[in-house]
Amino acid sequence: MISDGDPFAGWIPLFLSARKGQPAVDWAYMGAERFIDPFCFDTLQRLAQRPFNRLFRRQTGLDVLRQRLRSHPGLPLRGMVFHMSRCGSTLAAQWLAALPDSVVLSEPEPVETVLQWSAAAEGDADTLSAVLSALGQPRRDSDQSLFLKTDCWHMVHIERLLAAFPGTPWAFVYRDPVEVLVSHRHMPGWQLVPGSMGCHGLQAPEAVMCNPLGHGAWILSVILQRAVQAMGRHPNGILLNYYELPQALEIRLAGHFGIARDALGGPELRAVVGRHAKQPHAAFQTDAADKRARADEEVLSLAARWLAEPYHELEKNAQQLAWNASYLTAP
Amino acid sequence: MTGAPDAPIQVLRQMVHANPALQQRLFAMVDAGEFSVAVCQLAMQAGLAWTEEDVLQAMRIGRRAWSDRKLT
Repeated sequence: MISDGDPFAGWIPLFLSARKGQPAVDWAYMGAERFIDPFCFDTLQRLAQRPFNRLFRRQTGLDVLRQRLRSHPGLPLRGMVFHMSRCGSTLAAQWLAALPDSVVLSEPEPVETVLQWSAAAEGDADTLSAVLSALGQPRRDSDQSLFLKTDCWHMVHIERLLAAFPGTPWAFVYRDPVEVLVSHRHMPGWQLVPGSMGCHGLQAPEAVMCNPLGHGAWILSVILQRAVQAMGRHPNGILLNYYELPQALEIRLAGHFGIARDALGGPELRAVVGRHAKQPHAAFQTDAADKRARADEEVLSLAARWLAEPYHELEKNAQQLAWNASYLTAP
Repeated sequence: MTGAPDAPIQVLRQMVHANPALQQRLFAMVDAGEFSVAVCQLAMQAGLAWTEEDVLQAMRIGRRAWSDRKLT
């Protein structure tokens, strides 16, 4: 897929920076390699460590990135996956990556950087599109579609993302908040660090600033609230609860993202739903009962205080959509 | 990514960035030792005075730029 005559053929934006207010793009050579790790970070980290990229990386301004959006637009974005973390979204991304004609960007750091920048300046829709375009070049002859799985806190930027990619279908993956908090208790996510989300305009109340799990619960509550709002504003969204996985990927997500029926059912897809998304050597199995059994008083209290209400709002919304769908398809 | 325009590293980068086949060949080398030998040979062919230690030092700077990328 490396075309002749293009000086950036095979190169991708490794990271973006804005030292002294000057935005810059550091490019790394990726050649014909693919994004197949559970997270883009793993791929980018590996590329950054290759001897070639330690010596021959190149740096440009944003202008080159934007020009390439016109000259090399890359694959069309066919779907975006938002989520609340620890809810099966990585399984969804890995399932999409196993399609024979897709490129999946799972929580790409360059997108995180642009979303930290002002939407009225360097972080505008043009830059967002340009970053996705440069990362989303076809990597195989068969590649036709691009999918983006965002970081969980990017739900607060859904308006910016849909402005950059109008009409793109999207999904929100979520899960019983008690189970999500138990997962974060066991292995804390970045959003548990008090103050870590200030760069995304999320300032938690003082009451939770000394309590990492409480801070995480508050961040998750905002994510759920934004999902409720987005479902009301943007008709191209669907809700996927963890307990519907993995069957809902083929039954609901595929149709929503316009994935052809003949692309489904291959051995690669079956292999993905049979293994753990973040630990590929382990088998996938639902662990809802185990997580609920491990919920302590603090988890139950934080879930009730911050998350029960928006979660039930989403569930009501999902039930209404399911009823509408069955009504419309009834004979 | 900095340096005087005619510094050996800058000349080498220009050569490599203009040559897709060379990019593919050097990218395929995952061993730093093998890579630095290949780069030194390239420098020699171009009449540039560059040692393996120069290559390894430039690679250390490149690695630090990645690890420090979020520092402002």
